Amino acid sequence: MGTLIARRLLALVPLLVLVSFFVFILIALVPGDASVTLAGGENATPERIAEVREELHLDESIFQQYGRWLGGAVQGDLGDSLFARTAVTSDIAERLPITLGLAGAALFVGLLVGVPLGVLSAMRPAGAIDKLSRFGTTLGISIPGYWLAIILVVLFAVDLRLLPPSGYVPFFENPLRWLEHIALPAIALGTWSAASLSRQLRAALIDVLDTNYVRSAWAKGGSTRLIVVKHALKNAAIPVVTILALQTGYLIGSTVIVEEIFTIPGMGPYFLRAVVSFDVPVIQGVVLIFVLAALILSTLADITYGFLNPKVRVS
Amino acid sequence: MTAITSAGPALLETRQVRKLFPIERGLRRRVHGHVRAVDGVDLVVPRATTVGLVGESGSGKSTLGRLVLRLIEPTSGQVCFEGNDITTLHGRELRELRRNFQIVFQDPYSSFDATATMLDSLREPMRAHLELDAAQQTARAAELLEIVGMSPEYLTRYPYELSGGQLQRAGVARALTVDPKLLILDEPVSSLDVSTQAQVINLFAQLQDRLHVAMLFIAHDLSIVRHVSERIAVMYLGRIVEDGPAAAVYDQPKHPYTEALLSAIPVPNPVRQRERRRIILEGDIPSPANPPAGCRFHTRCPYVLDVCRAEDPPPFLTPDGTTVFCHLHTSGPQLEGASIGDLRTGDRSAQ
Amino acid sequence: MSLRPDTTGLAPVAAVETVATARSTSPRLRLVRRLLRKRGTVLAIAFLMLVAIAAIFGTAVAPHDPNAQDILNSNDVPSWSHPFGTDDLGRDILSRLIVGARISVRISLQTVLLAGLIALPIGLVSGYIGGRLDNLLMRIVDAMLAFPPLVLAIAVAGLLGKGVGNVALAITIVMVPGFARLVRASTLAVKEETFVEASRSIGTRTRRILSHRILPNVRSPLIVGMSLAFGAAILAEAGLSFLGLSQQPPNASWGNMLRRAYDHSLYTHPWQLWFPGAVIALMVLAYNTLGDALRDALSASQWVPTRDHHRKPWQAWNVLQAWQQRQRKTRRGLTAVTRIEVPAAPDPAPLLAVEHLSLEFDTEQGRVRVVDDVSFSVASGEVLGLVGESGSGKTVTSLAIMRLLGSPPARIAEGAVYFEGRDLFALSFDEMRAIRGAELSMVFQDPMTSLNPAYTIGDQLREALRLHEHVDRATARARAREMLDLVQIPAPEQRLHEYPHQLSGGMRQRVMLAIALMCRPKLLIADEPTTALDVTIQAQMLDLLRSLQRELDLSVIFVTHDLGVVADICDRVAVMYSGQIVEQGTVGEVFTRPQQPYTEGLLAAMPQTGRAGDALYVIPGQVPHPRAWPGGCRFHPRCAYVIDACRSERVSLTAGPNGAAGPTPHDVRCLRSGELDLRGSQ
Ligand SMILES: Nc1ncnc2c1ncn2[C@@H]1O[C@H](COP(=O)(O)OP(=O)(O)OP(=O)(O)O)[C@@H](O)[C@H]1O
Ligand SMILES: Nc1ncnc2c1ncn2[C@@H]1O[C@H](COP(=O)(O)OP(=O)(O)OP(=O)(O)O)[C@@H](O)[C@H]1O
Ligand code: SF4
Ligand code: SF4
Ligand SMILES: [Mg+2]
Ligand SMILES: [Mg+2]
Repeated sequence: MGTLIARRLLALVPLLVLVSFFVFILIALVPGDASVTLAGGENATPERIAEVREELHLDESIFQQYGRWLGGAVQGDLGDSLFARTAVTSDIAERLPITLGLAGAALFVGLLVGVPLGVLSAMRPAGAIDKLSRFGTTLGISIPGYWLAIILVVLFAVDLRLLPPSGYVPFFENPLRWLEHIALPAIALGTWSAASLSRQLRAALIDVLDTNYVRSAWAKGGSTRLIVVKHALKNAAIPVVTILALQTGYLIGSTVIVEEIFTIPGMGPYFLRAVVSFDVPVIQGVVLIFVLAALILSTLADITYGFLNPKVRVS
Repeated sequence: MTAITSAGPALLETRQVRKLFPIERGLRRRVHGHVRAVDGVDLVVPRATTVGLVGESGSGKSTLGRLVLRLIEPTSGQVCFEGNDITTLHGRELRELRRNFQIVFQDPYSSFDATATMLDSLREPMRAHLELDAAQQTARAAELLEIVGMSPEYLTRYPYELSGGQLQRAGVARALTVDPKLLILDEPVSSLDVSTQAQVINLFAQLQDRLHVAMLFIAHDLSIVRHVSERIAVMYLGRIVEDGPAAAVYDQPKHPYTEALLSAIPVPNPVRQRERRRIILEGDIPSPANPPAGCRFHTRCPYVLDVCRAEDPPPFLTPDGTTVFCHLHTSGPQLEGASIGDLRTGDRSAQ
Repeated sequence: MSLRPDTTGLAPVAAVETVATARSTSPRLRLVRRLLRKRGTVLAIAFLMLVAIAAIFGTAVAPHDPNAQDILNSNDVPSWSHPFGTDDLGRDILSRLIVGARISVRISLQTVLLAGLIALPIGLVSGYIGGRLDNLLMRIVDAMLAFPPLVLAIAVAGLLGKGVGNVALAITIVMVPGFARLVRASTLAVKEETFVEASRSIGTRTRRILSHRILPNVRSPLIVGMSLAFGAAILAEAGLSFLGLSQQPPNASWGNMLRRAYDHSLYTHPWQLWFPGAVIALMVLAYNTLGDALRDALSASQWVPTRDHHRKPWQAWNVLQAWQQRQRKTRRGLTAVTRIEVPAAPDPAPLLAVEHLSLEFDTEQGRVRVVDDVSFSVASGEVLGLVGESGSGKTVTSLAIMRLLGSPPARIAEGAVYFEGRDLFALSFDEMRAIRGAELSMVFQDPMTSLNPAYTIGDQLREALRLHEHVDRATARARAREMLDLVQIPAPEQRLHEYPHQLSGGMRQRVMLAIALMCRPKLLIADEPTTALDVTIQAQMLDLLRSLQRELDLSVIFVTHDLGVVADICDRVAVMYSGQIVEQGTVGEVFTRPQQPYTEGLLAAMPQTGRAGDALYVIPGQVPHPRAWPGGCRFHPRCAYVIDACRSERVSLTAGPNGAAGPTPHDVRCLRSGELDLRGSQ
């Protein structure tokens, strides 16, 4: 098990190098000469352009620039925002917990609804629950999260006035108010999560419930509960955990629009402002953090995978 | 050392071929030993003869078949076709050589592309080796199906529309398309039912009479092989342990493993079956990644001698033309080519 | 929101369908038929066509000029002239939705097709050639896959600059790596298939193998993946549009309409938010439904619900009741019983009596009967052999006794099974559970997959005991050890802590046997317990079974297709053909003096019999599929002794000529059994 973890972590290194390079060369996407755009577009003065080039080290080769950026990033310095002049690292440190809190809450909703739904529909494929849940989950993965968010606002905040339509209160300030503010966005995001998780789990469980070893367990005289909870879920979890990690990585990314709608001061609005204003260091920093989060999750999933699967653990 | 008395070089001859599959482990894929799938095999297939190759699973039969076809590269040793070493051929030469030997696989369903019709599959070898126009190709395909006893209407069918036995016959038809000199049959009847099995076995016997094609018939069941083979070679853990005329191997086995293998096949007659002397081998077949030293069979052999644990048994050529690798024939009780059944054993064999 | 194909549940391609069917239809036609069978799919296709018309004709089919402002009629609720109302500038919402369709359709088609086209060669080459190139390509693909898709799309689209074209480019870039992985995975799977090896051995060039063997088989998973990505592309475009990165106002797209409604009408006219959002959701729903349907249609292994052919819901006097009944009958782990009559128990009652058992499956092609009126019995301490070729119904018969077949698709249509006088088909799930594994046990054919890979041998042994007896852990462990000893597993203490994958096939089968015998059952059903094993291991296993059977005075139903094994271990034998028993009696009687042509043929076709060099006896033709069972005697198309009566008359199982006279019954299903002189095995 120890070697497995070590192996996973080691395998991460080359991937991180590649990923960070991709993040860095996002700057190459800026049309024309990046410095012109960054200096204010068409009517930028030559001085300003030169200044920007100097400042961004655009006169160096791309690899030199990458080395410089990576060197900083490794030490926790992602550069400064071009416009606000604040350090990207500290901006992110301020906002990341908010986003992670939201993503965690959404994941919670996803698990809470998705797991039972998946199990119930796998128990009787084509039964009433399954039919309903298949329709529901197909709908769930089809509805745009931001639209659902708006609908929820209209229903619960505008019409019923049960919950605040927008804004944010930090968890440590007032956990209850935090929950009030986070509930709607978490549901909006969690719906997709629940739907897709339930579909994956259903597929995996149906496969497992059809295996010979499950038949052996029935033949021993096992109860439905024993079969599902002990024999099936553990094996079905093996593929699902991997997918879940991947999806959670994506879920963190999906907070962007929802945060914008609910004006939650997380990574989303920060990132979107930066995108609209070509604030490259911010964009790079935010994307890097999102990718890192996804990578950490998938590494965790790999380790869990080894833990669940004796073939990997005991060899 | 194998006594083949026909003129000229044999159709196929392997000389000490060896195939080791590396076992990779760890992050850097370091090689942690090898699976010794085929470990120094000399095998001769004379022209227009059928040689049966039997052994239990993992003994390396399929690997040997693939080595002969050059589908995989041998680790060492040579494969000779009509006296020429073909181990070094590549590209075009290899492709052209391939029209001389064709293979039929164990699982008829997976050996056909499910998205292609029978006609399409039968045309494939023609495209590669024959210059025929479309009409000629169709005619040839129909003719081939006739040869294996199927109606030409199957040409438009997809694999899943055929039964296992029909599909296996179509597989034979595909292999015969380019008039090969050697057919490798890798357990061609193992996945078939008894009644269909008999149909396909008889088909092979007929083909040999009609087309004079040589065959290497791989199987794990000695009783099947003896119906079609002139010679039988028995494999155990990557090595041939006994190789001789079919009747001699089947009726007078010279190697303890062959004897045990024969005894393990139950006959469908309750009286005879219950009277037979049973040889129950102890333990599992060892892993080919870590084969026992000396005679590979010594961990399970009822007759094991001290010398067996240390030394590889040398080949011994018996008067009836069998080559056997067992110390019993050279040291110890000195069987010297007599059948293993002649050896009086105490309780050990009865377990 | 996932721009990457979701590949779970894709069947291995070559296994698309292995069931032999008599009809000859092209795979494409069958695919279309399967697709159109579900109402949801038809609706989805209809909706997509409607949107396609809107996208193609745009303003031509729009009732109003989509950009014409009419401040006097702003925020109008739906009416005849404005079916979906007007927005805050008085523009007709329906017309704007219609022109917006063009963007959505264009983006989804363009991005998915382009990404597929780019990914296909990458995945194919990477998967087939392998080696360093594969390593390099997949590292890059993995790195790209680590990016959350939406974040990457926003960053790329934002940096490239606003506009539909750049959004399309961004979405394409995001999609390529997922498709490449999908194609590579399928290529790797197909490459391992024997038919590719066959092509190589034929001497076909690599290029042709790629284009004619790999590509057609990789195509269907890619198509499924792509069809599921259409929806994701639309969601992404709408999202970017909502953020103001795609189509610029005043031109309409679904996403920017939603944004405008959100910005200007959230509090005043919230109904305006419904239309654009609903259209996006419907469009994605339609694409996803179609993608799911494609996936299901391509993997035939899935059980597809069929309508009840016998009892149509509207004929039932109470639809709800019929529905409830069906719900009760659907159950994993217990076969449903739909018999009307209950056959009486024989007197005196043997340990097990199967009486007139018939079993049916609900399949895609309708209901098929696979076991038809099977009766046999097992006395205490007796070993009964159940033999027959593949598909004759041996496995399903034994599973039906244990009621282990899931419903749907299985159902017991007729008959009863009396175990110690109790009708097993009348028991509830919990009553059945108490018997299973305790008094009635089963060992399955495939030792490699019949043990749960996630738990140790010891755990699975102890579980078998503790399900039926209240014992503490220590006792359970001791008993488990004892059992391993009994089935002659060396070093049992150590094996208890091992996982199934650490054991050889023979050892696993011994463990299966140990589990089955844990509670000392009276009857053991062994379904081809030695078929998957090597012959020398099979000999060990038979030896073990024989001694255990004597030691424990066990009754055994031994299912096999090997008549040699029956001769070795069984007292009596029942020969099955096409779901029926055609002959049964003592092994000595049946094998040496068979009364039924099929038994004779089977014995003669065994390769162990006959002399080398002679042609083997052949039964012409093949075992018919249950859907194609012939009338009259089911064996008549293959029988050498067939007479006209065999083709039309119903043949029943009756006491054979020497059975009636002899001390033990010998039943035969053949019209001519009295007059034929058949050969047994020598
Ligand atoms: N490509 C491969 N990589 C690694 N090991 C392999 C490979 N192919 C075969 N082996 C191993 O080589 C040994 C011999 O395999 P082979 O398939 O030749 O046996 P076989 O006699 O044909 O058995 P079977 O009756 O099961 O077909 C086995 O232990 C197998 O696991
Ligand atoms: N779930 C199912 N749905 C539809 N048909 C089925 C199902 N399971 C089995 N059958 C059919 O029932 C028939 C009998 O199958 P069964 O597995 O009992 O055969 P068998 O005699 O055990 O053969 P084998 O030797 O291959 O194990 C076959 O024609 C099979 O196709
Ligand atoms: S060499 Fe020795 S161990 Fe090997 S088969 Fe002969 S007697 Fe047995
Ligand atoms: S009833 Fe007729 S067809 Fe059937 S087995 Fe007897 S002789 Fe043959
Ligand atoms: Mg093989
Ligand atoms: Mg079976």
